Amino acid sequence: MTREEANVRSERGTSPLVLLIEDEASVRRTLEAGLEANGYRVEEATTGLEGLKMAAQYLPDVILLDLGLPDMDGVEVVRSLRVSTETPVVVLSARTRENEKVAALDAGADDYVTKPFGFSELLARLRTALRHAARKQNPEPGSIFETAHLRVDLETRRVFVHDREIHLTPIEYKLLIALVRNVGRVVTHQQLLAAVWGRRGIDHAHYLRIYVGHLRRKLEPDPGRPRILRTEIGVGYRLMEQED
Amino acid sequence: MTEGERPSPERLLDLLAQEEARRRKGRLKIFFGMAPGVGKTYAMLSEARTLRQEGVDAVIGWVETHGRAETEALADGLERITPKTVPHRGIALKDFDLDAALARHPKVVLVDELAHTNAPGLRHLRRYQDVLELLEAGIDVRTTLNVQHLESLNDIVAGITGVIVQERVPDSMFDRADEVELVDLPTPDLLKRLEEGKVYVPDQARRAMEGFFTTGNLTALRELALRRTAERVHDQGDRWREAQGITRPWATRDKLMVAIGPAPQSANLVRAAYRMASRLQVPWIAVTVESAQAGSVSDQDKARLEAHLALAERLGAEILVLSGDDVSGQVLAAARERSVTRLLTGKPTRSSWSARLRGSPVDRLVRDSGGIDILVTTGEEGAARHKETRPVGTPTRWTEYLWAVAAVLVTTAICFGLRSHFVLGDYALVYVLAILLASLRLSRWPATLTAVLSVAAVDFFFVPPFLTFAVADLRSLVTFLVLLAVGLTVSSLTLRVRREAESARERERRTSSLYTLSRQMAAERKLDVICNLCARYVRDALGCDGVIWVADGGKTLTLRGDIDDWMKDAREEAAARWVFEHEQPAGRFTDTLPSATGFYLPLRAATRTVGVIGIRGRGEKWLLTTSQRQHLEVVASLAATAVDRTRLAKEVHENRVKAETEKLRNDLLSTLSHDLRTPLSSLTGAVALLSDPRSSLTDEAQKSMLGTIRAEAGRLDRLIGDVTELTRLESGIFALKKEWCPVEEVIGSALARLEDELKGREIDVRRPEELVLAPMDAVLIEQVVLNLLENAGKHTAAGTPIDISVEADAGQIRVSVADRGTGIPEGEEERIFEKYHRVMGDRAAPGMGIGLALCKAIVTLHGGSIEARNREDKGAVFTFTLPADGGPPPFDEPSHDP
Repeated sequence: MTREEANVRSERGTSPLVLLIEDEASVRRTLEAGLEANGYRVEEATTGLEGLKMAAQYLPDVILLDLGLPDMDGVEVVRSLRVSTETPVVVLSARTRENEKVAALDAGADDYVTKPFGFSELLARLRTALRHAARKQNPEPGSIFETAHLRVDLETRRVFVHDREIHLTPIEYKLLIALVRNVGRVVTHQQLLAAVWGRRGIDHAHYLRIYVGHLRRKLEPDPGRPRILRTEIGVGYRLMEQED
Repeated sequence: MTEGERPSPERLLDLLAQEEARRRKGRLKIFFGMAPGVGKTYAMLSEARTLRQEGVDAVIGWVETHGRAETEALADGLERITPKTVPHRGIALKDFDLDAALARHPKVVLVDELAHTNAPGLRHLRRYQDVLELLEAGIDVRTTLNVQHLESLNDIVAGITGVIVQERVPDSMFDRADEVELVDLPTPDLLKRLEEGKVYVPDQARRAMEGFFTTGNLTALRELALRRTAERVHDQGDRWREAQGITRPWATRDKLMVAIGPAPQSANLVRAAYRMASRLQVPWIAVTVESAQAGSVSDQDKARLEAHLALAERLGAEILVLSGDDVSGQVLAAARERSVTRLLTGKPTRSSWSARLRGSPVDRLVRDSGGIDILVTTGEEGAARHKETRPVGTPTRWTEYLWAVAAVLVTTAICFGLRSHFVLGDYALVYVLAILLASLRLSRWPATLTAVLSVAAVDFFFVPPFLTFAVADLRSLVTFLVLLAVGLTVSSLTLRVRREAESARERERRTSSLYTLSRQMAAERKLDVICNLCARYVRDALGCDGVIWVADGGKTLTLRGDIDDWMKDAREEAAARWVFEHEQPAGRFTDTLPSATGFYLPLRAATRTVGVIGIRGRGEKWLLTTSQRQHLEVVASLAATAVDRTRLAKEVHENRVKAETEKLRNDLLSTLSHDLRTPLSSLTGAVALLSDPRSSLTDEAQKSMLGTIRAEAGRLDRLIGDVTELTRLESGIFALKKEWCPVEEVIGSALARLEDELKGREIDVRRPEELVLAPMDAVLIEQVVLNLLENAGKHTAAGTPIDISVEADAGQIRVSVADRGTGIPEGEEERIFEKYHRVMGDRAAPGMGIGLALCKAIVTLHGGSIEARNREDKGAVFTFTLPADGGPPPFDEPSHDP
């Protein structure tokens, strides 16, 4: 059993089931081969409607959804899925379609992968999605969060960089916590604004950018080339996850 | 026939073209007779029956059988076009249905009575116009005509028979007929038929007709008909001889001119000129001299003059309207200019004082004619008369007479004051001065009144016995007479000078306003503006409402410019449409659709008719003079050229755009195919190597191959992304999503995405310590940074450093990406941002043409600029700026958590 396989074992003890909703046969073929080689089971659907039906039928662990389906708007598929299930959804979308990604994420998708994608990136997204789903089912009150050189004590609200405590303003702290809760996942501007300022901040995306800039100056050794607090241009931010 | 007398190739081609044109049009055959009752309709119907038997599609359009049994029998069995019923003052008139005939479109149609006047409300006033339209449509026409209806013989017929025929047909109809069949009957036979009641005579005209059908009259008419037919045959002989290269026996360069005026007799003068011109077979010109001042001629005279000119035009004359007061001088100048050899004018019927004194215009014509033959016929003195006997000047107002009286009173007062120093001659001189001044200011009759009053005043106040009109001394009488003569002459001369000056001014004004119009239109490209210019010009210069219809490509006419209500009338539109389709004037003052209120002219450009211009005067009594009409024709031709030019300009522009698009497409295709193929060939090469079982690649080499595949696939993806993005930006349907965003965020993201490509390079990011923000579409600006970094990576050796710098200036930020490669070739600094351009000699690094063009498009959309230059030491530096005015919206710190 490879390390990858060990990582993706679901709590049910079997290999996790991926529902792949994608109309392009060649992409389906590649994905199926790649996913199966990495210890996933794969079910395939070629249209949005078929995908919705199969999601209800197979109860997959994670859904991989192409946003450019012929029969339904991808965002619409996400919305329909969210009505009945909390199964994590990772969307596949082309570059330059940022609006579409944001819409899918705000509609309840967990993460996205830009086409054409590297397989390692895709696998990382799937793992993160599965992990978050698992955490949602049995929330462990883990009070210490750690990634790379960053450590956050959630109980005492203390933040350490390279084991040295740093001081954050309340807003910066709220921002960091919103990202920590979604570690490894992209968080859209809207989601962050809502988490930090509530409804009020929604029109002021540049507040967010400025606070992220400030936060980076405290967390990153080179804020011009951030390592742990990455920008996903046009979509949002991602706190990088340290994988063993 | 000698070689030298052969017709020139041009002439032959001309004849051929005429022949060809005639073939495409319908053929006209006229059954020509000397009087009613000779059997024209019968002959026509017999021929139709023969044609029918031969299988020719011949139908009856209109035939008057007048209930004669034998004619009726002939018409029986032939297809007839149902006549049109026109309601007129409570009775239903029946007439030939032109539209039905055009719709039926037979090979041959029979239309009786060419001279007929159509029922009111039909399209054309006269039946011969219907026939012309049938011929234009390519339908052969058979018709009938009596000699007395021929325009040019009208006066002769009237002279012979005493009957003035109102329904006249222009001789051009007769001349253009392809065939004329003379239907002849000896006079006694015709008289016998008349007695037998075989000739239809309307009851109300019976008495007149009985006077008409006398042996003398009929013989004369028969002679006329035979002669006219013979002349035609003669002409045909000439034409045949010409085509065969035989020169005409009287090949002269003669040209005839006829001078006409508004007097009724001028019509005969015109006919005489036509007969002379056609006998001599020379071109002819009808000329008239209009008074310089409007209002000097009565409306009645004006209408009559217009009728004469129209007659001349129908008879094939060139029309010339001159203006000025020196009638004979103007006419002779025009005649010389056009190399006229003979000038025809009428004899004066009355003589005036001025004519007695200075010689009549005819006298002057004869005196000054030089090499031109002057032919004087009975009738009026033509052009001259209406000038000399008519009062000139604007309509006299009664105040002018008051001024005349006042002038004499003031002069008398002055003279009275100075009477102790004056002798009789001095008074006379002072009064002459008064008359001169009055003539300068007043019109003719008030000026004359001044002269007469002056003589009376001198007599009354200053000639003994004083305060009476009696004259004691014979010498005083002479003084009066001299004073009167001098006064009248001075006033008349002064008035004439004034008139000529006014006329010159008027001509000058017209020329310069036309010049202005043509200049304005030459500078104008917009169709609506051109049309409005014309309409405004017509309004100002002719005092009429003007309107322009323009054809949009095909056959649709669209009203252009300011639109008035009257133009929307269906009748007006029908007239405009007819004018456009037939390229001939119509509407009021013409014989086609005369019920329209406007007058319409086609806008004829060099190759086609582009539209229609219409004018309508204000008020019911509006009259279009020939000079106004000619003026309008000039405007129409200017408008046609201008309208046509807009079309040509549009076509040229479209062609240029097409050519440019074509070139761009070619550039795109060649660049794309190159740029796409290069990574593809690396890809396929690497895949082939990897999948070849015979190749024994080391693990290291395999890894390198896989690395290549990945990098090239990524490049391909970015290239396609750039192309689609550029297309999207250029499509214009795209709106920037600008938000205030820190530049470092964009740079950081771009660096993260290019992590693999830039591995092993030292990347130095220099930026201000604080955050630098600018309003931007972050996705697009990231693309710019990404492309610049990729460009730097591609054009420099692996491992060389790349420097990025961010500077914030007043109101803008500057971002530079500098490398240490070979730099940009001299002179390419601008061109590298052109779409699909690639720096020559650098074919190993494809794709940046589109990449940099996309950068430029994005930065330009943001209102910034981008430039490339070489560094002072080594390498190239690309710098773009973004405007950052004002800073982000105020930052109100949200309340902190407790």
